[in-house]
Amino acid sequence: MSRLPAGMYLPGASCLHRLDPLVKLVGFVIFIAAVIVTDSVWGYALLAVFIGGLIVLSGIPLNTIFGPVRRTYLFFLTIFFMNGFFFSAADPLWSRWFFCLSWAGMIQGANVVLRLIILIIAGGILTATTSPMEITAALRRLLKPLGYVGIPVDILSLIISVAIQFIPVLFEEVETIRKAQTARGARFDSARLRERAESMFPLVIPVFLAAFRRADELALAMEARGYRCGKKRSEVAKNSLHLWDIGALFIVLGVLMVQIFVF
Amino acid sequence: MPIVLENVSFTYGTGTPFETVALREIDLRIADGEFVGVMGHTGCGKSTLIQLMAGLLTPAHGKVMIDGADINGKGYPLANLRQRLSIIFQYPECQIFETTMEKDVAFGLKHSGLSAPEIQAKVCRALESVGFSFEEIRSLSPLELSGGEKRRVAIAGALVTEPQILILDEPVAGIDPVGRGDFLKLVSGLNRNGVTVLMVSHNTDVLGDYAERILVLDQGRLIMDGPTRSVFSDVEKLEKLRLGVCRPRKIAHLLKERGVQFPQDIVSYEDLLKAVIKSRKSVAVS
Amino acid sequence: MMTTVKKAIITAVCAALCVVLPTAFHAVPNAGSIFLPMHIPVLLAGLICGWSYGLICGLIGPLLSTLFTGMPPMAYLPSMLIELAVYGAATGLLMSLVHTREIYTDLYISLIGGMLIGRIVAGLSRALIFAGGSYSMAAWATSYFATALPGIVIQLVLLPSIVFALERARLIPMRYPQ
Repeated sequence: MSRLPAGMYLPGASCLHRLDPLVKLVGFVIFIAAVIVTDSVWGYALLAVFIGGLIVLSGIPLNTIFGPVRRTYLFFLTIFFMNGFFFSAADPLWSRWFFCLSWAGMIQGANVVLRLIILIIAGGILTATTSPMEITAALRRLLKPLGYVGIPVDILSLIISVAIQFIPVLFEEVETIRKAQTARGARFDSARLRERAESMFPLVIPVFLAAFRRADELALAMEARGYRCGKKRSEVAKNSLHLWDIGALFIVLGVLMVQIFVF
Repeated sequence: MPIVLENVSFTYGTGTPFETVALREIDLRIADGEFVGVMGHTGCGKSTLIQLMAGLLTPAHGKVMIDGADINGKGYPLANLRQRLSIIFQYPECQIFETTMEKDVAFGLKHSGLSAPEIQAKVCRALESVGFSFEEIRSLSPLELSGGEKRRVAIAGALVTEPQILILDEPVAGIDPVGRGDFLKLVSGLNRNGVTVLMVSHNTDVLGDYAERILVLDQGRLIMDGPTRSVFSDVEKLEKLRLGVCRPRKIAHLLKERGVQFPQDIVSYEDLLKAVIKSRKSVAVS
Repeated sequence: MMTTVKKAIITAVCAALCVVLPTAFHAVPNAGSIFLPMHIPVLLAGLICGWSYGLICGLIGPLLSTLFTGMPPMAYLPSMLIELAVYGAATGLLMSLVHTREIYTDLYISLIGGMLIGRIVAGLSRALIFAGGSYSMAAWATSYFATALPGIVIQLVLLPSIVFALERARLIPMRYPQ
């Protein structure tokens, strides 16, 4: 258990921590839209101010926020150059074969990278201030209206909650099997790609067998206890939105509107 | 291939809020051909200890030496060690993955550099040692077997390399009594032929019957280490640790508490029987 | 035939494996983009439980992975959700349409078809969402085929082996009972 990746949640009591998880989730989706429509310097400046405000409000250490960005800098460089070199522009600075370096391409690359970084930071703030359980609960509330258009929300909820239960169990299972096969001579950390690829078989096949055996047992037990999908179950009392929750939603919506209509 | 642990410590989750020390300053030497039992509660560090010996974990401090070489040293051929040291985990049947019995058992020899006929001969020997007929079952799917049969295939897979050191983690858990007897007979046979055996078990009767030396771990420390007779002689201490002793030893201890003159160096059922027969004879003579 | 409950639980287990399997390869640099360990459970859910369950697994798996491990980062999540959902749904759909009386043929057709459709849809969505139409064919081809080639080959060998093993262990019903 102790070796399970802990996720990114940092318990705290800031106003972002206390905000309704559903609002944070919806706000994040609106923010993604705002980021996607942004393409001017002033637009990015507004986003930067907004994100900066969120960081200050959340009280999360800067290291946690910028860590993921720093760790994946190679990926950003790749994205930047892929855009820079493959962009088909009318006035290339340099071109050979299908490589074609241009100012327009580099601006395009910078745009994509900036958007990604902003989204990573925003996602980081969301997951640092909201526990995985809260997010999945909010997700279930968000999905509920889908039930009215014929989507089986109860099956979705069942799948989500069972999956969460299984994560630590299967994590242990994978560790055990990895060690057993290493002891038998499997080479998971071989320098040769081929050996590493071959070593997937003794790991992945037993993991699926073990996982499906557990699924089989659980399904049998649930059916034996009379569980059926589509049956109405008692509802947990709904928590309603507070004034500040609604206010927060309006602020994010405001950012989106400004991005669309002003810049 | 003696196993030597020098001042070994191990910590899980270093640098996270969940940091826990699993082993503290273990010093240990296991000579060739010994049969060592390891006892302790869940979380006492037994599993960590055997995984360190097998090179599956790296100690935070200290050295694990096998055959005089530090197995975590730079350039140590761990792949080579895996051919000479086998470890059988609890429920080993979960590691089966190949399409035929022969292929699954042969997995451990994949990197051995042996020729195909040599590998086949070894696989045949391993499968027959666990009671299968090689020609009958070689091309069957191991996944279609019963639980007990799968366990035997997995054991054959660990024995196929003919290891000099065999480490067993709760080997008799969830096995039927007949299968348990056969398996223990197989292991003690290997031990008689010079294989070092290290057996982690909660089953004190099995340890009393087979182990010649016992290690007791508690909260990451090695608190008892000695011949089975002398470790099991301290009944009070082991009961205080809630580990207990084997039943023959317990019976001898209870007899002594009732004031009966009875030898106290008993660990196996064989010892108990001999002592009972001897005391009856002495009663008959007097 | 499997009951709805069983299909739902299998899908849940596959979604959990979307979180767990990539962590088993975390020690290997770039294993995620080369071996694509998250694709395996999604494709399997589609193959075994049908298109709708493949789709659900493709949505829930990466989402839970982001929430619990931070990988993939939130920003890549939308395009990944689309890609994996299409893989799961397309392989499941093909599996229910293709019946050649030979399980391996069915599996290969469904897998290859599903992977192609998934990559085309993912490329299109990425072009529309992230790069406003300037995302070029060459970039798409490199990221979805060249770097992913080992992963594609592994999946084509591994998935039929997993299905075979599960059938042998009687954990899923036989597709063509003898």
